[in-house]
Amino acid sequence: MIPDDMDDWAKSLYERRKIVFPSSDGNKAYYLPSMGNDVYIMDIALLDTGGIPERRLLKLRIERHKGYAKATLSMGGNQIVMLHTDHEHTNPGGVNIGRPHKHYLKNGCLKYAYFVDDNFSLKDINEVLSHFLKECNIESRLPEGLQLLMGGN
Amino acid sequence: MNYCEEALIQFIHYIKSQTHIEFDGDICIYTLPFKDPFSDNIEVAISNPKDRLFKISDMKQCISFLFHSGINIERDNRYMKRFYSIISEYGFEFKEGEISKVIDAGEIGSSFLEAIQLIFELYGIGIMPEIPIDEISFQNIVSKYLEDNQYDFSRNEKIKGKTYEHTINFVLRNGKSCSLVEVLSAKSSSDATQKAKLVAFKFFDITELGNGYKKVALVDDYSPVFKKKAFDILHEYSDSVITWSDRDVLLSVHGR
Repeated sequence: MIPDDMDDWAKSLYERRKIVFPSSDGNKAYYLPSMGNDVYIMDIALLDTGGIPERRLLKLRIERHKGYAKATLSMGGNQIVMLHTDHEHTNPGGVNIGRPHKHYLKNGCLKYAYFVDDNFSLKDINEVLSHFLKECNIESRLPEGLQLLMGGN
Repeated sequence: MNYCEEALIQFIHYIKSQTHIEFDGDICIYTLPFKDPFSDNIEVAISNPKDRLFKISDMKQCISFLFHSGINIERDNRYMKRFYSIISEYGFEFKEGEISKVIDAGEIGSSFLEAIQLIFELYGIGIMPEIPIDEISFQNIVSKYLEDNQYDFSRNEKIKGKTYEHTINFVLRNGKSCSLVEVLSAKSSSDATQKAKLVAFKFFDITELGNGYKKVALVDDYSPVFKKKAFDILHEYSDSVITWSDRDVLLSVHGR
């Protein structure tokens, strides 16, 4: 589900087919030591109509946070969507959204979110990742699966 | 001017009424009515590890916020310096992703306020960072293209030349036919010419051994930095020079 009021720029990237791409140093993902081993960054390439990756890369950041998960898809410094399973959210104006929810780019910022109505475990980082990839039109062609990369729960 | 004090009392009362408290084991988590740039409420945690000593913490909120804003504190010195300098200004410390301070019972009020100010100041690092858009390396794109078109190929294979052993980006095999493909990507015209010269030398040196390889230069024409001079050099020492826009020519060159 894509909100109608998502910024056009973000919507066009969100709808496009994408693929998890090996980063330039050959790794599929890496983690940041000071944040522990619960944080991963993956390169995501946009595919053109012929299925060939374009030059621009998006980043997928995923983090286990307080036992739950957070995932963000961004390009450069601009976040496109951000999934939170760890807490509830209230949109500006006071509408309670609940959890899990997904923040989306509207008027250039991610203040607004919508409820993600799907059946996946909020605490299982791999289920969150799998859901996030699917909903963002990101294909994973990694033969061993991403589950191994995320180190289970 | 009685309303001045009354306004302050009402404000403090309202803040209190909008603050939620929950317990996670022996940690008390305050969800405050202050919003971060994603309109999520900020949280401060207080625990009491020893008698009269309390620990106030951000529960990794700041590092998480910066991470999802695309800032990698560990890998970027500019951000790291600012990050640590702000934390030390407030007398807090950063350990295993968490920003915290151990305080005496009498300091809870002032430290609570400092923690809120510190969180907002650190969030400031993450607002509108100037991060360049990453690009995929040209070699990885070519590799993906070859995979998708089911070429039999290997990457970075060592091929002997007359004077040196050379690493070739892609070696394509089709029966007995073997093509050496060097991919060229450059940031400027001078860089392009330099790279063309290096590839020319590789191909020349390999040809000297007379091993019958087909030599292909595959040029990244995403930006027009490869000029006539670079192409002339490549044409002289390659069997074929193909631009990425015409990549399907590779099929016929390789005899498929």
